[in-house]
Amino acid sequence: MSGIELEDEKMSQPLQPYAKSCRFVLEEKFGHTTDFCLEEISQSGCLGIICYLKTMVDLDAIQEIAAMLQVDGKGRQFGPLEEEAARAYGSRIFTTMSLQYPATLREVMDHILNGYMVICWDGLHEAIAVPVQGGEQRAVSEPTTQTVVKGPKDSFTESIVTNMSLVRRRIKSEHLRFESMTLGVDTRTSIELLYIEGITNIRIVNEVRERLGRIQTSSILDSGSIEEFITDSNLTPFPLLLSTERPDSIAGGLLEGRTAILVDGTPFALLAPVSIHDFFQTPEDYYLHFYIATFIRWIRYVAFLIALLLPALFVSVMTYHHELIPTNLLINLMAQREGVPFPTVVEAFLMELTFEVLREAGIRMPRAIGQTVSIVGALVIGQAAVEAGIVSNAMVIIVSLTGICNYVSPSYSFASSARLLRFLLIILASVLGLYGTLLGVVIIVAHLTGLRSIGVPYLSSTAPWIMEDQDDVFIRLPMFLNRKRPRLLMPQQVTKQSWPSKLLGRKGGGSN
Amino acid sequence: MVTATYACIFIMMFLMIIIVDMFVAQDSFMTSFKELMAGRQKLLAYIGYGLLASLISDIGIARRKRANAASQEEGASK
Amino acid sequence: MTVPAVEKLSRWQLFVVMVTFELGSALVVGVGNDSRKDAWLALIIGAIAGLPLIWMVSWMLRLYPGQTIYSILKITLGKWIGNLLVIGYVIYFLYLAAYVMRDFIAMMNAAVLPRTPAGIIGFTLMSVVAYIVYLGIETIGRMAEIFAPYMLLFTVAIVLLCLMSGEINLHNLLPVLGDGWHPIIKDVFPAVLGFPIGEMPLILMVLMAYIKRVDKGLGVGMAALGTGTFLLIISIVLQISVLTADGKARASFPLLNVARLISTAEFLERIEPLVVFLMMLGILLKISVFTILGVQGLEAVVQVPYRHFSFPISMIVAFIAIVHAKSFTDHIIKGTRMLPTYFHMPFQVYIPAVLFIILLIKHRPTKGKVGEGT
Repeated sequence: MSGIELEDEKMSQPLQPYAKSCRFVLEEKFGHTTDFCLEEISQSGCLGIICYLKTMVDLDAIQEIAAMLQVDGKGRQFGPLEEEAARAYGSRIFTTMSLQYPATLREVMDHILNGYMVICWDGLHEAIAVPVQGGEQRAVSEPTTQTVVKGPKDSFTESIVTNMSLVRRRIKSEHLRFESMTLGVDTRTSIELLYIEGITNIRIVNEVRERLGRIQTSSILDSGSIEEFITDSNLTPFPLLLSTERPDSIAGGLLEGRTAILVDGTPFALLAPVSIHDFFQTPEDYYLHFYIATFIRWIRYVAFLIALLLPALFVSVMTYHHELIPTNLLINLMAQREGVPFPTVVEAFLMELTFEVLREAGIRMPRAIGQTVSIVGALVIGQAAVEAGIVSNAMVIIVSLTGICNYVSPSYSFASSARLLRFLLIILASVLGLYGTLLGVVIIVAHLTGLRSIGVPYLSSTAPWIMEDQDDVFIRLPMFLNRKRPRLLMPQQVTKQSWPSKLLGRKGGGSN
Repeated sequence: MVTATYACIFIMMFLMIIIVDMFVAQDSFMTSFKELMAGRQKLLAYIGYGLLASLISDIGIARRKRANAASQEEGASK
Repeated sequence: MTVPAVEKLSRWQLFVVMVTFELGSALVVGVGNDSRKDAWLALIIGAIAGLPLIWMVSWMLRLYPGQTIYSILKITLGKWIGNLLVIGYVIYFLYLAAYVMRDFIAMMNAAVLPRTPAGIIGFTLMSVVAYIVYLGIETIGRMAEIFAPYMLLFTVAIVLLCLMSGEINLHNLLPVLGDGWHPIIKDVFPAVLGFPIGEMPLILMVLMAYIKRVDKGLGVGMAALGTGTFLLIISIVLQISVLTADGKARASFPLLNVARLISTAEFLERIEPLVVFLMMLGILLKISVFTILGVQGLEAVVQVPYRHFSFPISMIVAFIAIVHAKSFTDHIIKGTRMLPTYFHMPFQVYIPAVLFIILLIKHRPTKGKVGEGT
């Protein structure tokens, strides 16, 4: 351990003004990796080195800079002048670039690793890092998991710079803040913490920043790993942070007073803190008519409840409470079950598990056949299983209805929680009937009331009930009536717009 | 501490319901006791669960206390 | 930040907890059977008699903001007597929890799960209660907030369904005061006052310490008493007008019998299990509140955070619930003969009253200060 510490100390000492020594250390550190390029340049006896990672930079830009370094139009030499500081030198040559001046070997290496080209000259106490990041990138495309019919069609990509600009272009405010940090000892992933000064509650920002700072790990490959590190509780099937690949979703969240976390290398950004209701809302709600949007929200709540409860209710009614079903329907159902050898629970489990397997297979399979297999497979298996007398028709209907309702949820991770809890409820239903189902629901509700997302109660706006927030929870009022930001986030600036003139009386509104 | 409290509360409540029963049914202590517990020996499993839970609680509290003390000592030595 | 240091209830939450609490088991079992047709009148009188109790309790808790009745007892009466009384309260609360639990088990066995052993129902329900208690007071407040609308909706729905199926016969309520005032007064003191009216000041004694503005506690208590009594009166009027006073008195679970009579639109023929499950929410909350009051008392005595007691104590409650009576009849007899006189009255009226008088004497010289505080 002490050896590493000693080395670290060496690395963080001020840079020696000798290019040779830099070269020696860097070559030792990077070893024989093929993408590390180091070239020597000399200018009238003055020695310098250029180093970069071939894989991280734009090679055209390197060519250009190399040319600039050789000679300028007037044929003047471009080594550092005597006694000239690095900053003066840098600004003399690269007039338009945003340069960095790493002063220690550690910083030099960080910049090389992040796709900078670093130049060291004899006699300069700081190196010059020129941003020439390049490498292959995916173009901004339509979101794949959170599609909308109406509204912006762009989504985040794997490049954090692109993602930042996608957010910035939506919020052209000087109050929007980006705070960068690097996480992961090996991956050195750049993370950006986003918030809006003057809107987001400063305690929330501090809390998120502190939790991010506490992360000590080797690798961060996706925002999902960050989510598990900073979430309030891991002992829950429910996601406590919202992950989205839609920039308008992030922008909307920021403007409501949340913080966002962008992670380099993944198109999924995180929004925190969130309440359970945010998982039933999409940005599209705000682009549609408010009554349509309200209706769709209700559909989502109902669909979630169906996805969670329907199989359990069916099992308990079929096993314990026949009297709850109208007689004709009961006769029907019983006739279908004639010849089915299993109790309803086994039937339900069989079908649910088959469905989950098909679903997983549909995702993993090559895309061309994936969809066909999952849909046709379900149909064929359902049909065949019924005809073979293994399951009843009603059960196939129940399971497929449940599966479809599960897809209604806008958030994949939230829908997964229902998938999991469904099995728990089926077990309870099979043991104790409706009483067990209800107990299960009570446990889930109690669990939800105890959860917090970055300190904000997870069921906020409902429990604790916040009357002022009800303009955008179960119903979405039209934009001009939705004047306040959600109180549950305790934003520093609650009001976001004044009353529209048309409501203040006919006199004021000339446009009417 | 939790276990001791648990035992005390259990004994007190059990005595109480027997005394209540003695009052209402005008029975002697042992008759009441026998009648109340008739065919309900299985229920003593509850008390077992409770005992187990309170022991676990106690162990948890003790461990946390020790951890706290250790971290405080560490803080003091630094 | 993950768990706040001090738990807080909002005033709305306290209100909802108190109302669901009062309705919880009072909807299940009959109230005011001895007053017969005038049970609703008995309830009104009981509520009026409950007002001074609520005022007394809130006055005491306002003297010591943020303190429960347990710490006030210990501060005022000294460590020994204080602790003894607190343990008395703990036993009382846990016994009430067990009592309500037995009602519930009997109802489940009668209406929904006839073949499931009482032990299983007790264990499962108390495990859930233990989990709720473990999560704390805030959770109870929020759960009440979530479930209250459904309970209200269900009461309204039952009334509407009864109206639709034409079972309501308001003549069953007449004549008012047919037997004079005497039986009503005898029923109110101590039966109706003890249950359900007197249970409201009981929770106020502890939970009022958790609201942010203690001075508003009195208002919340009064409002909750008023609303709860109003809803109860509706249900009692419904029971009497559908079942007649005799039918109500004979039924173990009058509202269940009312639900049995409902049949509308051919489709809703047996809504009885649904009624049971909606009642279950209220009962669950009620048992949770009683248990949490009990374990809070234990926290005051032995200075261990109450969450640690949740599971063990819940098991005691489940045990006592089944063991405490030989049969359901025995259970009811104990509830009508023992509870009001020997349990409700001392803990709801006598002890608070004595404490009130002591505090009144103690704080007389600083009357000006108290006045400022209010």
